[in-house]
Amino acid sequence: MMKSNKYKYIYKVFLSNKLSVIGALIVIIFLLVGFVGPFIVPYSPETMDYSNVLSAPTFKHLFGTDEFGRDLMSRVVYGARVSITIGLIVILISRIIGIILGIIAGYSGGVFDDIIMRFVDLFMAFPPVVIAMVIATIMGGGVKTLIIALSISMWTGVARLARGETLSIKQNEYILSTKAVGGSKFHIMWHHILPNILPPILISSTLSFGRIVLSTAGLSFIGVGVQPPIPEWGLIISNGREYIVSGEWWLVFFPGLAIMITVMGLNLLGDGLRDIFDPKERKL
Amino acid sequence: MEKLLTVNNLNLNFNTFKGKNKVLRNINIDVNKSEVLGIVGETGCGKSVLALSILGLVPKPGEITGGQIYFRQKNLLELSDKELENIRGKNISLIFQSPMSALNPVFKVKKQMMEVILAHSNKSKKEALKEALRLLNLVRVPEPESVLECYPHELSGGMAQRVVISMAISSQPALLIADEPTTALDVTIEKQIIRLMKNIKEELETSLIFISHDLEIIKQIAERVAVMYAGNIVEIGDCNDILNSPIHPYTKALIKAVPSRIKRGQELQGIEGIVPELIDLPEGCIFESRCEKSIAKCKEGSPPKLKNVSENRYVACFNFEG
Repeated sequence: MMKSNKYKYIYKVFLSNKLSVIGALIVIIFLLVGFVGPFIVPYSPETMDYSNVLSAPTFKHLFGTDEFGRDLMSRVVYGARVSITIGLIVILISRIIGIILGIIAGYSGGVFDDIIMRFVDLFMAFPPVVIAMVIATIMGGGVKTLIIALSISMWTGVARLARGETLSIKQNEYILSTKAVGGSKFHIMWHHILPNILPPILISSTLSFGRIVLSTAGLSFIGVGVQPPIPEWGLIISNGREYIVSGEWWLVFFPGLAIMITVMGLNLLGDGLRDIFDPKERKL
Repeated sequence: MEKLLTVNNLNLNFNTFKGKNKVLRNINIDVNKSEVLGIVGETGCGKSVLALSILGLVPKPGEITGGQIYFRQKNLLELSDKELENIRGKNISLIFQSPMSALNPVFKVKKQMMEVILAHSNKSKKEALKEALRLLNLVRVPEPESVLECYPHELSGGMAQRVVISMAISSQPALLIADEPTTALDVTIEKQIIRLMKNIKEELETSLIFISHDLEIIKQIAERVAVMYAGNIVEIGDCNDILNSPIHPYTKALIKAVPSRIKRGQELQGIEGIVPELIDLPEGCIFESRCEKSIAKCKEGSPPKLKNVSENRYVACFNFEG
């Protein structure tokens, strides 16, 4: 009987914030485009048509075509799938590493805490771009490089968040009472601390997703990320930038718009989720 | 009578930047089989730390610097973490002050109870669920089925404490330590919980260490009482003897200060002075600065030790040394 009330309440809080509803809609559209879009677009993103290069947006090609005559809309739609795949993998890897190390650091304290947190400091000292460039030099550019580079630069934030939350949760009496009934260290970390720190991690994941979309585009733009011919938003912009001066604006405009709207939607959704999980931050 | 737990010359320090805070000094208590030992004392005298040290759960920077804790002839201080985990909850259980914070807010009562039951037995999940229902019935929770489906915040304080108690007794521990289990509850619920703990103690024949700052509660449940002051035990004896004819000046002052013994219009009686810092211990008796019966001997040398004054009665005071 309490359950339906609880969900109704969450629903209400979420709906009461118009911006987070817009954010959620954008994210849903983004995911839909990523998953089913490639099956319904009329052209393959890699088919070239030399009779129709650099065509401005028409009804046949809504977003226009690029210098090889490829349909820009298909490429942007495929780009969503690329961003989602990279985003989810990076989120997964960085959360797993960050949560495990963060909980161990926060719960054990002492030497473990010092070692892990100094490692975090070490990784935070390098901007993601630098890490990506170093890895790209070693293994060459590509999706793999991008995923490794972003995971390396993103796990640190998660580790700090998880550690901070663990520090505050381990003070609670139910942790002591679990110890008092014989709960082992591992049991307490896995069954009592982890479920309690998931909400803030979830919120930070939505926000990081936005950052990953941006970084993916940024790194691909400068050439250390996704390599052609994979249709990636940053890459499309990078290819199209030389045509701005000659007036072919659509080559940078549409992928740029896609990046902007997606990142905004993810950020709005993240704020909305935070309102639900953290009533203290809620705007009245 | 068979001794279940013996604490022998226990010393415990909290190492702070200011110095060593000597929170427990030469504690000697023992608990007999199926007996209720009450521990009373004012805030900060070391009652809870004593309870935690029995289970090996003293928080950092606390450190046990001397003494032994024997439970069934085994010294708990020499056991490994693994061995202690097996004793905690199975042989010795602890009930905390605030029931609401002793339950994890993200799980239903059912999951938390089954977790404890499964940890110390090799029951199947189905049997564990049955056992959880039986335990809730034992602690007289009305509608146990619906309580199992509740999250902790959906329970009242008294109900949550019953759940906590039922978890603590799930493996029929030989010793139950209750650290002010009624402090967070209102007076009517307090009465119920105390009656419940008495019944459980009778039914399961467990020993009970009942910690409280309230003499009235101790009177209702304890058979023997240990009075603590600033990390020392100053007097131990049968509950009635101590409450009716206290010997140590601190016990006397404590009993005098109980509000219900004072008539309307009369001024409440406190104990003059404050508890001394436990970092730089004064010489002699720790209670000397607040004691009405201080004599020359109290101000110097080593503190008084517990001396047997009559049957089952021990007092740490120079006034009563033969």
